[in-house]
Amino acid sequence: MASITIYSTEGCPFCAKAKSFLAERGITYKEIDVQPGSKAWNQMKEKTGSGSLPQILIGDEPVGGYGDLVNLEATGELNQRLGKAVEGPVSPVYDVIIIGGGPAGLSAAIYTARKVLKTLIVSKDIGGQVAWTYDVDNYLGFSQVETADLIAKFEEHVQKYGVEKLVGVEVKALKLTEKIKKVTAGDGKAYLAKTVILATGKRPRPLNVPGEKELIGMGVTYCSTCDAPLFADLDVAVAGGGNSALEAVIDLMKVARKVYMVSLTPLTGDQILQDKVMSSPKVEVFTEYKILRIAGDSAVEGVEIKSLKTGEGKKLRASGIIIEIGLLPNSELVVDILETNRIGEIAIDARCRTGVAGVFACGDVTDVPFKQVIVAAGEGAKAALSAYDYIINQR
Amino acid sequence: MAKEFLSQKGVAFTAYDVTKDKAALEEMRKISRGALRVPVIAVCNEVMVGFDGHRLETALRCLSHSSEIK
Repeated sequence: MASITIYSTEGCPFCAKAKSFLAERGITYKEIDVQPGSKAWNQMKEKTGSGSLPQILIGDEPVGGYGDLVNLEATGELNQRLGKAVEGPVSPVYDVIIIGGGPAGLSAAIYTARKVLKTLIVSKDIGGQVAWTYDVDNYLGFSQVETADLIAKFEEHVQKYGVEKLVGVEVKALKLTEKIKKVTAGDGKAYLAKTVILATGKRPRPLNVPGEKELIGMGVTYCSTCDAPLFADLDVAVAGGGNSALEAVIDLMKVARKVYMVSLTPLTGDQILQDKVMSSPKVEVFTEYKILRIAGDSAVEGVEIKSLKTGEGKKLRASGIIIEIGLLPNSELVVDILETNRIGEIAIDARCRTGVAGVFACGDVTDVPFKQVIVAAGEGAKAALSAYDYIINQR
Repeated sequence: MAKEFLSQKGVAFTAYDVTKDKAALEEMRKISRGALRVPVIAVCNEVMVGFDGHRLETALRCLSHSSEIK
């Protein structure tokens, strides 16, 4: 096995980091203490061509400083250069795998990266649910910001620390109870980690009626902010009776020809929104009506509804339907392993712990109240720091 | 994302903001047989609803073919 030499001095933070990095991996090294201008200093400069500390050599080959050492490990080159004497799995073991790329997951990544934990983000997108809104007015430091810009800033911040990301990939299976966790992703590969942070967020609840799945994008949508402008001069239905549904109706009132609001219950949203909706001649409200079917061959042509009180059926002619009937937590993969509440949210304690060692959760997928970007970002930071504590205590 | 993808590939394209351009919205609905979702991307004779990097890349091949024929 090739030997490692490290030139360092006391009080140099990156020297200490480099040494603990090697020690954690069971890699022995020879340490040479240098003072500027000393004989050892001159020797170091001669060998590496650099005067900054630390300087690390594998055999006689200069590697550079601490950052270079971390990079070598990330590319798998470190073991290779050291020879076979160093044991380790073929696929790297991350300190932490963060599942989810919304505000909670991205905030967690910044905290783990700053603790120099080897981090991987696996997410089907970047931004998460907030990307469905047009702007954000309540995030500290931004009195008003377009959501796309805010997400770009989040991503840029994470990128600054060079966090590894696997985006556009869904997680298919999780093995969380063992000491080394296994995350099987949609790319067919398995990723290993000491800790997992679940930041999977929520998704719109579907109606589960015939025609819904088939016509997504062809008139069926779950995002009024994204798609309302596309319904210009058309007849549209909105499913739901809460604030989101009322807001969708208000968005549509500005552009659509006719808006049908269909709610299973009496309207539950804020009175001020209800008044706005009721005052529009464009809107027709059906409360205590069930949606039976979304009709249409290649695109939405109508919505079939039935009164819960009288049993009377109706066919509404509509070119689209916006479904706003609440959200579901993305916790399917863990409901058998982790404790969840009545609505499927992962139960966590004040430190974002889930009850399974090394598994943390944050953001909208958890039972923490108030689903807000700033809350999710704060919870992400907490989960990351808890993961760090856990790793430190395992050593 | 789709625009970024095309720019990176060096493909020239025309972008229509259908929230501001009613004629473009009409055309989009027509060519996509009723799509109410963006982006709708038309390449040669193919119309794609939504952004799918792999599918778009395959569709873009028609551009190089046509220039070869010329």
